[in-house]
This record gives sequence, structure tokens and C-alpha cells, in this order.
Amino acid sequence: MRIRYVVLPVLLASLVTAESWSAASQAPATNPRTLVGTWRLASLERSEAGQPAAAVANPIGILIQDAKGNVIELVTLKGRPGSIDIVEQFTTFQASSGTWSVAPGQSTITYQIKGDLDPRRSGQQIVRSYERQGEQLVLTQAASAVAPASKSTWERVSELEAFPDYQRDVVGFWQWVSAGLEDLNGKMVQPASRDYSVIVYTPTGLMAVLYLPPAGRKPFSGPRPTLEEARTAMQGVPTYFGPYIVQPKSSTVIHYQMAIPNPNQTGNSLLRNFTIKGQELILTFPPQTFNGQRVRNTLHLKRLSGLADMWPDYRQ
Amino acid sequence: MKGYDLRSIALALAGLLIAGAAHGQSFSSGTIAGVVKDASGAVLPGVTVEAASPALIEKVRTVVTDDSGVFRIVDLRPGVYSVTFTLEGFSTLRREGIELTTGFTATVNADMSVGALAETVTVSGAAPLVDVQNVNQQRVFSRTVTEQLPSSSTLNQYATLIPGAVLTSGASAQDVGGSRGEFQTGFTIHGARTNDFQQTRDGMFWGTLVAAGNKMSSLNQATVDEVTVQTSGATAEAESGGVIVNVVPRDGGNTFRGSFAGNFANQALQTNNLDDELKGRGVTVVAEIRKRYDVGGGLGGPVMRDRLWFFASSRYWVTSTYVPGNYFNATQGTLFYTPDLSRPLYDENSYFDNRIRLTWQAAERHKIAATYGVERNCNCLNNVSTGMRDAAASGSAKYWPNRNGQLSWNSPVTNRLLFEGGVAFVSLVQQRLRVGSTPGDPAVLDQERNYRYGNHRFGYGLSDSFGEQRTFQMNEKFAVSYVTGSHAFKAGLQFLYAPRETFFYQDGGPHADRSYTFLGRTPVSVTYYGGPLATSLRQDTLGLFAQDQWNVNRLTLNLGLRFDYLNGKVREQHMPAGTFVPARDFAPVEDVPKWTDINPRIGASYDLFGTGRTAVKGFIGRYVNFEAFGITTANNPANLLVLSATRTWTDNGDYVPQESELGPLSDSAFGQVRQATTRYADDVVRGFGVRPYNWQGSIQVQHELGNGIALNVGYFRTWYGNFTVTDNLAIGPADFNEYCITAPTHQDLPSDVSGKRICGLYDLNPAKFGQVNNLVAQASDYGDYNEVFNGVDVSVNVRFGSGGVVQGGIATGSQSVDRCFIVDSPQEEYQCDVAPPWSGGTQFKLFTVYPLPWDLQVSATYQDSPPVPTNAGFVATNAMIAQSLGRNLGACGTRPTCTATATIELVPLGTHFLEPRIRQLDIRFTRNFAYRSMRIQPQFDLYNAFNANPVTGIITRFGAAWQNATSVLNPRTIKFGVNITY
Repeated sequence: MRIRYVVLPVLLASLVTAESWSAASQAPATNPRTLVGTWRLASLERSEAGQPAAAVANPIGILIQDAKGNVIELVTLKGRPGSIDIVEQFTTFQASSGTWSVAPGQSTITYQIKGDLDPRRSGQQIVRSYERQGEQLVLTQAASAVAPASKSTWERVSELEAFPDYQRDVVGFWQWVSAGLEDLNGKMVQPASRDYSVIVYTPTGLMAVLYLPPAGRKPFSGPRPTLEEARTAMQGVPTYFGPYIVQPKSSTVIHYQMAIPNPNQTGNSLLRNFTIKGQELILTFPPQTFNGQRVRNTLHLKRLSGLADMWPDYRQ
Repeated sequence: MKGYDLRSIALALAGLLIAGAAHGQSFSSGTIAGVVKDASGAVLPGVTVEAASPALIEKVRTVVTDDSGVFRIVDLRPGVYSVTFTLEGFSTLRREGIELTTGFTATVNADMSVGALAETVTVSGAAPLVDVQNVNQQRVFSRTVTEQLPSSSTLNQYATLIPGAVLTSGASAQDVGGSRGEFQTGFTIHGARTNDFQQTRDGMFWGTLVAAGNKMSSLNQATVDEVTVQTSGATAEAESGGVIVNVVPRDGGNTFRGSFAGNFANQALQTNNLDDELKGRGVTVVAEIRKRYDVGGGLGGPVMRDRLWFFASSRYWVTSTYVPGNYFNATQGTLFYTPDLSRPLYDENSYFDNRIRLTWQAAERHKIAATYGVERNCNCLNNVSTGMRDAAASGSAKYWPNRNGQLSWNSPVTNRLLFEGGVAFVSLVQQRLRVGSTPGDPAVLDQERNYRYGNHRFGYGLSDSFGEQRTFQMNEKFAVSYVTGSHAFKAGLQFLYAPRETFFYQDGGPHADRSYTFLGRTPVSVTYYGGPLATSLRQDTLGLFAQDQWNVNRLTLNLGLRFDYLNGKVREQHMPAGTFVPARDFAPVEDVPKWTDINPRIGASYDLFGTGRTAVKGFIGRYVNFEAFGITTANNPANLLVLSATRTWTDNGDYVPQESELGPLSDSAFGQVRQATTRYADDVVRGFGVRPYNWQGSIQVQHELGNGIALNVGYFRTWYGNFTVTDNLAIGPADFNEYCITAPTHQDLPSDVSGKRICGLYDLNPAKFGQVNNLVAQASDYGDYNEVFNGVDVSVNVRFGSGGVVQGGIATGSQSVDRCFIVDSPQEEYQCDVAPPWSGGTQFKLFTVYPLPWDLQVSATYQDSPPVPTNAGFVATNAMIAQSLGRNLGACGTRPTCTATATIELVPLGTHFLEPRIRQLDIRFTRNFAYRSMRIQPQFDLYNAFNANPVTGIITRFGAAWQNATSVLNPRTIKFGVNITY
């Protein structure tokens, strides 16, 4: 399929550089507020080695950066056919999370990837130059050994004009802490573990999630995963973005999968009950049957940032 | 209570209301509401919903769905709307072609799917026909529909279109092609009182306290954008519960647009519908058209684009009909009447309305509209149509000057908070103008023919003297609404200040303040008048209301509470000296009446299948009866003036009433103030919950049968309370003696009456006759007084093609009265429980606008109304009664020759029907022609197309003339007209 040849270099260009781990793992306090917010991918150009830059057709993506330096970025293509296999699903969907920072006096952003759908990119650092043009953010990254040069243009998504109070506490970056299947009395039946994983609720009504498998994923045997490697990499990895709504009466949040690796799942909605206790968010799935027992998958997440970090101008 | 104090209290109370609250449904605007869900059925909070329409001066109104996914956009002007739903991450959804009318909540639900915001899904479909949230019953008539229908273009035309509507003035007011003009407009439904008929403009009271909704003025159709006729379930914003006709005025826009309409008919376009049977029943000639035409138009456009607009209009229409058998007086100015056969009499009803409306978008969220109108109306020679007066004795009822206006302000401060306020006034002067006489001409009553002629001088009042009645009303309202989606709260207050002053006098000259009674050409008596008469009354009302429309899933609760305060007073009155009386002064009388009431209104509507196409509704509400100076007038001390007395006149042949020819005054108190013989109990005039009221209840099922077809089935019940009775404390049941009569034999009387003996009749003992000490008291102090209407309406509403409409249905009902207790006379139990048959209250009405190929169009209205009842008032002579009674009738006292009579209704009133039903079909044929930006529509109208001749009035006094017709439906009439829009 042609799309994989389009997206894969983009992915590489976007997220992988020759840079190594750096001090950017800690969120700087000097990040420009103008870069904080939720950004919708408007256009994407890339250039293969020795080739002029070309526009990528139908890109779709979300970039969320908070004031504390947390970031999540998901990029894929709109209108992918439902018939693509899991390798193509993998190669046409990029998801990473971590931190971002801008060094004083610099016009570059350094992204430290803490978790990535592609195990090869976890722990990598990338640097992009940035430019704010009105409501647009243009990120440019140079070609590297593993990725072509790219230029992505993002449009700022406005926060909800009528942002409801009941949604305020939900907004933020939340890091996965623990999870498992609990019986209806709250007793853990089947614990689970994950590598660095986050779910992000923004004041724009959009959300994004990247839950990774347990640490220790193996790198692929070649530049392109095999069917089995792709299946392994995708197994148990919920990652998608889209709108979400909060229904306060039932303490329910509904996620709408506007973009997800498997295009057949696009448009689906997922219902979660939520509880917020201090800095903890508990997401509970609808009951299911496990080994003949009624259980609910329950996720415990800790707050990395809140509304003030996501929307510094809120009520100002 | 002083007016100032009243306002202070009102403001304080309103403040409390407002503080506790938030826009309920208003019948002066429309609402778009609904729930937004995702593809799985989960509700979507936070969705931005925009309603856009050319009808909105602000172009777009925006709200956001609440946490239940519910939205509500209130206070929308009627028009065609598009509604757009946007939420980040979802495809934008747009619903187009939503035709919104006033008082209607259009349910527009949305199912949104995940997608990019830029992806827009547009859905065009039929506008909702079923209101699944409001519990009121209403009919909405847009100008574009009514101007296509063959109807009278008066306020009464809506009665011809609504099943169940009954003309206040009865069948004789049935209009054929504009034959009635605006005369005696008003109608009732579901057993409502005639006084409860209300006319509002832009939601504000537009009547006078002369005759409630019939404000003695006209309805200029050129100014109308839409008319809503509410017939049941009025919200807490309404004081009384009868028919409420709300006119939504036309606003100008950024484009210059106008219209012109005209039509005419004359005698040559009228046929004759009298047949031998009718001629045998006393009707010999039809009422011929003298002239009938109607011209009017309007123009609207920008004064300042996007800021200030105008709409100006003018209409003049006349309907004049010859009065058969009545003529001008060839010997006017003398004491005699000589019919001038070359000058037949006619009535002429003319209306001239000039009106301008300015609409100002003062700021983004502030809109101000001002309307000012001047009318010049005349029911000229209106009393000649009775056939019992000539032109000089009738005069003309002129309504001039007649000015009215309105200033309103609307401010959607936020998407949730709306303020509205306004002030309206109606200033009406009713005058009686001289026609065909000169000042000083004598006025004569010919007893032989019961015919008055010569001058307009037979008492005091609009029909019998000169002078005028000045009525003014100014009402103000302020309301605040808070809309959250699931809740639409509205609270507000309404004031009404209404003074009324009259001044009636007789003209001077040698016959000043007197009239003559002749028997043919023989003088009988001279009547003297103790005027002038001047009265001054005032009525103030205050209404405070709070209401909430609350959506709970598919259920919508409509909860309302209203506080009503009414205070009437007779102001200080001064009457100048007349020919026979000195000047007189009367001190004011306060608090007649002073009433307070709390009126709850509760309703629920359930969207049966959640599709917005089927609603089950229930409603119950309490309303005070509309009051227009009734008790105030009854308590006016000026009523006690003895304003006339008679002296017999035995003329010597010179027709000059010399002192020696005149007998004594019939009333020695002439010109003086008589001692009151009637007083009102305190708990009738003052107090909480003592004002006459009614409860209204309804259960309705509305269902959209298919695309553009809706069915409405409703049961309606109205029942009244706080009746009063007049108890003559000087007499009691023991002072009456029973008697029986034998009813006359007649094939048209019911078999259980014809020739049968009727007992249970009572006559007052002669010793007590004439003794009067009346107390008007609450009927509940004496027994149970019940008046209940039960009825069922079934109606359909069909829209098809491009502008095709079929609406109509059947309505049936019965209003029973049960008053079986004795206050004074045991005869009060005679026919005390009357329940008219439902057939007597069954109507079928239908109208259609049917577009045809080649821009042709046919439209029609059909009415099938109950016949006039054949009542039978039998005048029993003393001879018929005396044997059974054992004495002469009490009215005769001890006189040896007794000529007194007693009138006995042989059948309960309104229960006996022998006449054919009144069926009328009116048809209009038109074709549209386009010329540049103009649409020209010539019209050919056929009224009473079948030339039907049902009797619309009969003589109900049993005797030789019983059942003779007094009026017949006007014959088939052709009208030509044109309607131009540009």
C-alpha cells in the first residue's frame, strides 16, 4: 500500500532524530504559553532523501502540549480503507507521548519521547524548529538518518466557549499508574501493567490516549515490522484521539474514536465511569465476564497537569 | 391602593420571583428545542447549536446543550430556520427548512457522528408538525396562508377556520364575503366566556375594557406577519383563559418589499337565495350590497441597513348593505315619519388604518420595536339595520380618534438570560354622530311600529344620546427568562391602567331633553331626560407570573403560577346642569372591586415514542374571568340617578304638548338620586379568591401520521366558579304561589311539551310585589351552581407540495348549567338543569390552499355549523294562569282588570333544534403572474358558493310568528380582487 510509504517516513521524520536522551526529560518552566494548547494537524509535507518536499494527502492528527511540558502527539491519515492489514495499521498510525521544552532564546522545541507505539522510538529525543503564524504552529524538522525532513502545520483548537464547570476537574494529562480487572466488590482479580502511558483530556472537548504494553518490548527485526511483530506491538495498546463528553449526573465520560489504528473502529464510542480523588483519576469500564465472574476493568491514573496547565488563559 | 404603591409592591414581588428563578414558552414567539445525541444514543453536552433565519434581525442565535444534551432557543420570531449543530470532533450537522410559528416549540433532535468539524451533513425535511413540549392548543395562520383564503380578512375570519369556534354575536354574525366588516368581532371556544376573548399584539394586551378582545378597531392585514389563535392551555402569562388572538406584526428588512391587495363586490355580483319557504316565514328581500371594497398595502425596508428598519401600511375597507324596508324620513324635522321610498336606508361600516413600525437593532443584543397606528372607524347608521330606527334616530357610531401603539424591547443578554419589556396603549373615543337631522329636531317613538325616528334622543348611552365614551388602556410588561436547556424559566409582571370616561347629553332647542311617544300619529306621552350624564371609572390590574418548562427525558412539565390583582374604582364625577336638573357631584367609590387570586397552571407533555412525532398532553389551569368595569359600573352611585320620567299627553290636535294636556310625572324622584335597592356583599366585591373564575382541563393526543400530516384529538373541559346570585331580601320562597299552565299544541314542540301541563311555575304574592332589597351574594351561600363544558376536537393539518395546505376537523361539545337551588322564587328550579345536546355544539370546518399546474391555485373554506336553536318563549296571559293560581298575577296588584303576563320557556334554552345546519362554502380561484420582481395574483372569489339559505335568526316568541326568520345567510356573492407583492 502506498500510504505506508507516505506515513512511515513522516513518522520517522517527526519523532526520530540522531539526538540522544537529554535534560529535556524535565519540563522547563519557561515554555512559551503561545505553544500551550491543543493543535489539529492541518497539513504535512515531507521530502524523501534527495527529493523535493511533497504534501501528504489527508493527514489527520492531534498535538497536545501543556504548560508543564507534557505532550502527546498522534498522527495518521484520514480515510484509510478498512481492509488494510495490521502492519499497515501500525505503519500508518503514529503515537507518542512524553515531554517538550523550549530552551531560552531558542526557536526550537525539544521533544523527549517517553512512550511510543513504535518500540524503536521510545526514549528518543527529537528537535523541531517552530514558528507561530496567527492561530497556526509550523513545526519543521530536518532530515535525519532514519527519517526525511518534514514540515507540519498545526491549527490551534479553541477551548470550549461554554466550558462546563463539571468538566474542569477531568481536564489534564493523566499518567497510568495501575489497572486490572476487579470484581464487583472491588477486589483485584487480574492485575495489569503498562509502560509509560497517558490519557489526556483537553478543554477543547478533544482527548487523546496512548496506553502501551508492559515495558521490555522488543525492537523489530527490520525497518518494517513483520505481521507478527506488528500484531505484538499493537496488542493491548489502546491509542486513539477524538472528542469526549462528560455526563456529570452519571459521572461518565464517553470517548469518541475519531482516529484509531484500526480504521474499522473509527467512530466508535467508549463509555467509562470516572471518579476523581485528589490527584487520582479512576476510570472504570462497563462490566464484563472474566472466567465466569462479573468484573470491571479499573484504571488508576495520577494527574500530571490540570486545567490551568492546559488552558493558562482560562477565566482570565 | 394607590397606583404608586401598587407598582412598588409589584416590583418587590417581581424581584422575589426573579431572584428565585429564570423563558418559558411564550405565545408571542417560537422556540426550537431538542436533544443532541451521538450515534450510540448517548446525550451530548456542550454542543453549540445555532438557529439562523432571515426572520432574525440578529441573523443567528446560539446556545449550547446542557449536561443532558438538551438545548432550547427561545424568543424566536416566526420564519424558516436552519439549525446547525457543532461540536469539536464531530461532523457538523445542519437541519434546514424548519418552519417556526409563534407559540410552537419545534423539536429538532440531532444525532451527531464523529468526524471533522468541517464535514457538514445537511438534512432537509418537513418541518415538525407536532409540538411535543407545549400543552396549549393553538392554530397558527401565516399571512401567506390567510391571504390565499376566501375569507373576510377580519378578526372573525379565524373563527371560520377553527373547528369549535363560535361567533360571539351568534349565527346572525356569519360573514359572507366581508358582509359583516369588523362589526361585532370576537369568538369563543370550549365554553369560554365572550369577555375572555383577548387580542394581543406581539404578546401584549391590545384590547380595551369596552369589550375585551374586540377593541372596536380593525385588523390591518397588511401589517400582519402571523396570527396565533390560542384556544386552550394558556400559560401563566395569560390572565384569562378564553380565545387569545396574538398578532405578530411585520417588520421591515434590509430589502425594500411591499404588497398591495384590493377587492370589491357590488349588488350586481350578488344573487338572491330566498325561496318560497323563506318568504312564507317572513323574509321577503335579501340584504343587498350597497358597496363593498377593500384596499390596502404596505412597504417595508431599511432606514439604516442592519440597524433600523421600517414597515408602513395603510388599509381602507368598507362594507355597506341596504336595510330592507327601512327608509330615510321624507318629513325630517317634523314630528312625523314619512318613508322616502327613493332613499332606502343602509348601514356602512368603514375602517381606515394607518400604521408604522420601526425596528431598531440598538446593539448586538438589544432590539427595540415601536409601532404607532391611527384608525378611523365607523359603524355608520349601525342601528338602522334593526329596522326599528331611522337614520336620525340611529346616528353613527364613530370610533375616532382611535390611536394605539407599542414599544417593546428584547435583549438576549446571554444565550441563557433574556430580558423583555414593553408598553402598549390603546386610546379609543366612541362617538355618536348625527346623521340626517339638525340640532333641535324632535325625537319620536312610534309605539305602533316600535319605531324611533327624528333625532337621536332616547336616553343616555351610545345608542340613545349624543356624546362620547373615552376609553384608554396602557399596559406594561417586564419579563426575564433563564434557559438552561432542560429548564426554561420565565418570570415577569404585567400592569394595566385603564380609565374610562363617558359624557352623554341630549341636544337643545325647543325639544331639548325630551322625546315623544306616538301611537301612529296620535301623541301618547312626553319623556323628559335628567341629563347630562357623566361617568368616570378606572380599573388597574397587576399580574405576576412565574413558569418553568422542564424537560425530563421525553416528559416536559409545564409549571406555572400567576398572581392576579384587580382594583376598580368610581372616580369623582361631576355632571353639569341640564334643562331639568341642576349640576350634580358624586364622591368617589373605592375598591369596587378589589380582588386577588392565585392561579396555578400545570401541564405535561410526553413524547410517546421519543421521535418528536407523537405527543400525549394533559393540562389543568385556573383562570380569572376577564373583568371590564362590570362590578365597578354596577356600584356607580350615578346609576341611582332618575334620568327619565314620562307624562301622558292628551293632545288637542296641535301637536304642542301644553301643560294642561300633560299628566303627572311618572316618577316623582325625576332628576334626583334614588335610594339604592341593590348592594353587593363584601365577599363578592373584595377579597382573595372571590373573583369569578374558571378551570380548564384538557387531554390531547397529537400524532404526525406521515410526512406533513398531523392529527390532533383532544378532550376539553371548562368549569366555572364564584357565581353570584341576586337575593331580594324583602321576599322569600313563601311569598310565591305555584301555578300550572297548559302548553300550546304545536307539531314543532317536543311531544312531552306540546299540549302538556306545565307546573312548577310560581308567581309573587301581590302584597310583596314591588318590594326590592337586593343583595348580590356568592351563589355558593345558597347552593351548588355548576356550569361545565365538555367537548372533543378532532383536527388534521396537512401540508403538501409547494404551499399546499389542508386544515380542519370536527368539534363537538355541550355546555350544561345546573343551578337547582332557590334564592327567592321556587320557580328557579324550573328548567334548572340544562344540558344541550352535543349535536347542537357540533361543527365541521375545513380550509385548503391547493396549488394547481400553470401557477393556478384554488382555495376554499367550508363551514358546517349548528343551526340556531328553536327556543319557544310562551307568553301566558293572566286568564291562562289565574284559575290555577287562584288569583290574578301579582304584577296586577288589586286592579280588577289584569293585563299582566308571564313568559315561560316551553323548552330549555338552546336545547331544541329544528332549523337546518348552517353550511357555507367559499371558493377562490387565482393565478400567479410574475413581472420582474412582482407577483401579481388576480382573484375570483365565490362566497356561499351553493347559494345556501339557512336561517341565522328566528322569532323565538311562541305565537303566530314563532319560527319566522329574522335573518338568513347572505346569498352567493362574487368578489374580484388582486394581490400584488413586490
